[in-house]
Amino acid sequence: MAANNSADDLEYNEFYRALQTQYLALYERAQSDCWLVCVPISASLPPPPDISYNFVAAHLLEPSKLYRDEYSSLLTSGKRKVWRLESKELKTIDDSYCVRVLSEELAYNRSFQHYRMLMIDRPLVEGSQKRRKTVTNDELLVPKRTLKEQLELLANFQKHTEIKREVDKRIDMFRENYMVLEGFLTDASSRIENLIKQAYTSYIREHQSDKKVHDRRIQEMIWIALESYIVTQLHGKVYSKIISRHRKENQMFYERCKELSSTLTPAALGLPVDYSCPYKETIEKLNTMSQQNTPIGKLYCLQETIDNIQTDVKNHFKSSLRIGEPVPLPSDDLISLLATIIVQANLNFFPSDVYYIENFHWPFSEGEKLSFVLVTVRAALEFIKSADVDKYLPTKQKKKTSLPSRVTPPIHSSLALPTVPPSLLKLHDEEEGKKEVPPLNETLEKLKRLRMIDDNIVTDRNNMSTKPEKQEGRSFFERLMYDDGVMSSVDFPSPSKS
Amino acid sequence: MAARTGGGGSLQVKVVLLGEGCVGKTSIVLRYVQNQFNDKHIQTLQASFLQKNLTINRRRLCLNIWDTAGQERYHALGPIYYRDSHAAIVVYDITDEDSFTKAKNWVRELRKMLGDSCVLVIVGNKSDLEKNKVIQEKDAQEYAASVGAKHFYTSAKQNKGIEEMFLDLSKRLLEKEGNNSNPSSTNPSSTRRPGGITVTDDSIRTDRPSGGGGGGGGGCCG
Repeated sequence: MAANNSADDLEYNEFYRALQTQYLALYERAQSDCWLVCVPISASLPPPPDISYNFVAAHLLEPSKLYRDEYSSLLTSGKRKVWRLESKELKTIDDSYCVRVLSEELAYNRSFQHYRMLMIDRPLVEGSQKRRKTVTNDELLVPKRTLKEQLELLANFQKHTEIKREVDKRIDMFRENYMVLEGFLTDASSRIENLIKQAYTSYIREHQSDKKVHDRRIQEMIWIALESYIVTQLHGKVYSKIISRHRKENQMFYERCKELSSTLTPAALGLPVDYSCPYKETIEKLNTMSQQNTPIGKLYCLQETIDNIQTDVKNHFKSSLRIGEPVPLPSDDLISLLATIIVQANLNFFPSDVYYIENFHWPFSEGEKLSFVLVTVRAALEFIKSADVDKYLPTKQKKKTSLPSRVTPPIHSSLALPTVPPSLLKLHDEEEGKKEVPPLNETLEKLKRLRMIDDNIVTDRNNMSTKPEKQEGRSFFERLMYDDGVMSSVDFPSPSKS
Repeated sequence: MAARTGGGGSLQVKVVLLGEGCVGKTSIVLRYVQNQFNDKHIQTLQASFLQKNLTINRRRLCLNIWDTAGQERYHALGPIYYRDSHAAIVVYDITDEDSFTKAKNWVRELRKMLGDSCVLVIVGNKSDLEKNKVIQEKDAQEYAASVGAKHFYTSAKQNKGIEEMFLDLSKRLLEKEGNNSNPSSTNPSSTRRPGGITVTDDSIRTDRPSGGGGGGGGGCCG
């Protein structure tokens, strides 16, 4: 998916384009003097001919020499107009007119001096904000996830019917003349990619005079629609071969998931307590992946799964009546959490599906979110495949195999633990610690909810008992600060923004 | 891999953050991306993939920042993260010698996989803990120079050095792209998709496809 599908994206904003082309001299001056550049969102702009010199000039604000957060417009019918920037609003000095600041972009001039660029909800020129009924390409840019929606998008183009007829012919030829073999799936992949390229080229070439196709976001949507259509038509022929090629791997992976489903938990992986929550709906979402017929459909499903993980953690955090936000999910934890969810889902053909996505989906834009989703899924899959099962087995079960039956566990461990200071707990065997921890953990958790003790004791305690990595020896605060992001800490005050 | 230019002229780049666990990679990126007020709803919880747009002398860049897994158990997965990246930020903790050694390993791996195509920055984080510093500036600077990288000190806690580091990285990316001196050279009506199709107002050119599943295998047309 495109990085930004919003019509408000600066890259496609007509005012911003006018600054870059028609009113470049004005813009250059504003940049070199580090003025405040205000860009009204596309939907609020007057039609292009109305983006006049005065209109543009009214949005380039010179900082006041006397007062901080006060600015005056360069030219408004020969007069200067003074504005005050207050938090998320830009107001006239007499409060008679106010616009909302939607976002701020980092901007630097030729000398790499920083100047501010604000996206605002409407123009600074009163009375000019006649919203147009439609914004170019806006309706087309609504995300299209189903094949039906994607075909409707293609139908917007004048020569769609003829091109589709041609595409269908090629698909039929492929179906009738090409034999997909398990050992030659990469060849099948490159041939299907060529089919998509041919179709895409036809769409673009035949509609060159249509301004819509000059928008990269629309191009991407055309590409995805064609990929979905063509791959769906060939799904039966290709997917069955992928399944049979990965039969053994699918089976092994399924069994591995079953084996780990009850033991590979966030706690067993040493993840913060905030992440130990029910992921029922997320698991259900992941299970719907097998219903999708296209790699992109499966990938969207994985993306939603990852998004749901984050929502679940947030909701769980809120439901435990804690203040603030849970710590953000870094990649390590995201992979671990995803692994715990995959093993609980009922995925019969997961390795096949990942292969299908990796080889029969051709991303329009590398390095963007869907690519990241796929890499995270691949990482989780590899982790599950290589995970040391024994490490995550319940302690009792493990002891059965690792200790002779006549050896009784040392008494001291169960008796001594509650009185041992947390800082010494890391000296205990990792698994032993886990076994003895629950009673103390539960007590600490209750106290924590009552906000009688600090979070760091609980989190340190959990991490010490289960997380063998570098976490040891660092305080909760340090980890929060340096590894998990301090900005949304729970019980610690956020550092002031500079 | 060349960075992609979007339809409106912005440059899409993939930046990976590498380094041992606990050195502060996530904090650095969160500080950079979220510190400034933004109503565009970056999910607070999302720290592993973040985007940041910036404009330098009329050129727009979209940094797609990938926070990679730094823990040892995921070390082998590094290559799948940094494949096709345009820039890498390798972070170490100035109070932890081991993290500097690990950073060198990341650099070695990166260079092995990506050659010199990747803009590289080495970052000594936690500069607020100056008194506990164990990696000397001279050593870090010399090492960075020896691998064609720039070295920066940052403090995610105090928000120091982060913006400068990303600005320098962006400048170097633009220099590498060779377009910074001529921003108007980007034709807004010219677009490219990675598969190699360049579409302009007047012509369509189809190059050799890149990436994807393509290639090899035997033909099986019956």
